[in-house]
Amino acid sequence: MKKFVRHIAIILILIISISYVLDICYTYAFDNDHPRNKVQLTANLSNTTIDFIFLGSSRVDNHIDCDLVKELTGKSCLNLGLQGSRINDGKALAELLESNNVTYEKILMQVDYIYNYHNYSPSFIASIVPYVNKKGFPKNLKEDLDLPVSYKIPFARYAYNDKLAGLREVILQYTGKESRVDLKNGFNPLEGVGTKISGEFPNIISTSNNDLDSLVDLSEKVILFTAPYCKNTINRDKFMGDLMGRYPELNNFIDIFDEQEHFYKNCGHLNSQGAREFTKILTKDVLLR
Amino acid sequence: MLFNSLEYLVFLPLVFIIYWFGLKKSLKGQNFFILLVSYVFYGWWDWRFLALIAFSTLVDYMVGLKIQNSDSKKNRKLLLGISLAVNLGLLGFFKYYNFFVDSWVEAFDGLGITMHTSTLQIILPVGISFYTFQTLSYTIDVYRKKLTATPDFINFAAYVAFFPQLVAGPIERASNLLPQFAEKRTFDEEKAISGINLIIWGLFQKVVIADSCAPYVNAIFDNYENMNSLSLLLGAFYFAFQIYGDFAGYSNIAIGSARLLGFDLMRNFNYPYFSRDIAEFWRRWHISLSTWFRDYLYIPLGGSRGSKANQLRNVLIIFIVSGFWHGANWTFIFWGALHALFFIPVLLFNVNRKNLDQVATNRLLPNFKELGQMLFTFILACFAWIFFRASSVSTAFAYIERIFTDMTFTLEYLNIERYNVEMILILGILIGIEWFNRTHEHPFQGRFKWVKLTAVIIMLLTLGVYSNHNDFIYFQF
Repeated sequence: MKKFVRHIAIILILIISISYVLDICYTYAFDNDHPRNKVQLTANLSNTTIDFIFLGSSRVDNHIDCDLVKELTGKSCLNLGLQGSRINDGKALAELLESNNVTYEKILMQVDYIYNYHNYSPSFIASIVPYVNKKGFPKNLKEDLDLPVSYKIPFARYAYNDKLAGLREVILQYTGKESRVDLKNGFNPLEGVGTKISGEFPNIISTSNNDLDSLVDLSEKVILFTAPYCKNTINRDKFMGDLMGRYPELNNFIDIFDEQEHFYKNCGHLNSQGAREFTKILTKDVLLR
Repeated sequence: MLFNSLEYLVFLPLVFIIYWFGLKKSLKGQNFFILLVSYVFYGWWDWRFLALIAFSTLVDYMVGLKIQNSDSKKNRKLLLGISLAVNLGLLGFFKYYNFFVDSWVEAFDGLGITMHTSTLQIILPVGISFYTFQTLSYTIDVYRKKLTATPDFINFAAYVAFFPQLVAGPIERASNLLPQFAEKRTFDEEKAISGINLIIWGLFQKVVIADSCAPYVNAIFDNYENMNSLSLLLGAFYFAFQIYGDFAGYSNIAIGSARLLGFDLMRNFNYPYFSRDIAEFWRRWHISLSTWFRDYLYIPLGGSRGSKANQLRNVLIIFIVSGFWHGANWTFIFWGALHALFFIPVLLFNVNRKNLDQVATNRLLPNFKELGQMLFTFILACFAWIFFRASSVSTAFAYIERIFTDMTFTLEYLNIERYNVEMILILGILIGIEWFNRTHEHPFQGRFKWVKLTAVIIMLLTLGVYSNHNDFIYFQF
């Protein structure tokens, strides 16, 4: 049995030591001044002021052109919209900004049917894991993320999120490859015009969303808004009516392009022309009013 | 419970410790424990189907004893018939009922006769094809008087449900595995070490090779209408390695796990993509199934005896049945028939037993002839894999047609945000490792075994896919 135990022991030591070294290398790779995604950008921001910060899903990522906002207002702007993002992700980013001493004039949070989601999006989790053990990472956010116990094992957090925080991304970080999206602007426009577009909202609105409420409570500077969504969306107006009933201060732009279908790439997303038009309207109606 | 899951990472060491430290002195205790943990292992998926295994076990146990105790040939035949009817009946119902009903309706539709029927929502019990064949081998061998029926029910039940190979093989013969349950087992260090090494190598094949190939294969096959010729060729190439990594990986983990408990299971894969002809490929691919069909179907049909016409008929039958064993879909039957077509020339020219040794024995590299033969055989296998992977036969033909009509050979950026070059590099590493270790069952041998083991552990950690546990493909069969 001795030889077998020794064999197992060597393999375990190899696995543990390699995992430990890899964890250090991966964490170091993500902790740099050349971010490749918006979560990384947020985690590495500190002691700065950004006037307008946009949070939300692809309807921020694809719809808000911060260069245009700057042009219209003369103030700085950052688009932190994430594809497939949920309200929890937005709230977490706001907390990160707060803990990193980033000051702002307004935070604009996009809300629509994502009100019904109560978990963090998998892509957000994958993007945030490199920073959870970093000194100064908000304690309450770490608790709220509720990461699996196995993430305490060195390197497990990277292994389980291999698609977005795996070897490929680490190599790209070390080689300094630029992100496809200009992170200074954060605007990721879509091209083309959709035909026969249609969609569906949930029939019933969730009874509450504590994360949205705590985001609103976080600061008076938080403004809620809804981005356009195509006319042929089942339950759209009913859902929005219910949401407006709960948040009367919500800036609702969901139907502003109902008669301009050429602004849509698909039912939930505007094309670049529509996005710029929406950015103008939102800036004038909300930021310059 | 999946071999590449955290549950198994806890389950196997626990079983090992209780088995060797708690029950070391009691063979009966060890066998009962194996039976118990095997049922836990299987029940982890769906405990309801445990009744099916238990029923199949009970029937074959009783039939085996009755065949043994019967002198009448007629009675023995009848008892064998009962075993075949029960086992194949269950397999047929759970796996093939809907296929037969649908095919029947389609056939009548083709004749202009509309038939109204309904298919059932049947869940396929995991591994039913594997354990059914395993129990059949027992009753057939007892009937043929090649094996003595066991009076020990626990041993027999543990043999049928033995967890390392219960759900995806290797399909063990009763003559090999059952006697091992009756013998006192002592801990063999070398065997256990080789078991651990096989498990690591199997994990590499599964989580690094197969699971890395999976998104590429899905992206190409699910979107083949928009892919260019090179991507379609790569799709078949990737699938060849996905299914190999998946199945050979599973088999290696199964064999390794069994060795930790002191059991020897048969080898299931022997570097099949280094085969020089299709007959050699089938001596190296899914060996336990090929030899099962050889012993229980091909030889009883006459095998390679008799006229050439009979031989061709036998080859056609065995390959089509083998295809059908894989699943209730015409794609598998077509895949089997294609392999029969590839095999027939080899048989006609009497060269089916030409390449029995390992390629390029005592040489570092193959010569041009061997390289050409291996490439040709690999291309044939890849061509057939298109039918195996496609959702329907017509889709497979459309896929192949597009390879020859698009004629664009540029590397496309796939919508999964991965570059082909990454996958080709990983597969290059696998081919290199396998080539230089093709005379061994796993690469962790010789002077540099720790260097190789360290390299594989690094690759397992950095290149392995853990974000979503992909099921083993062969579970569906």
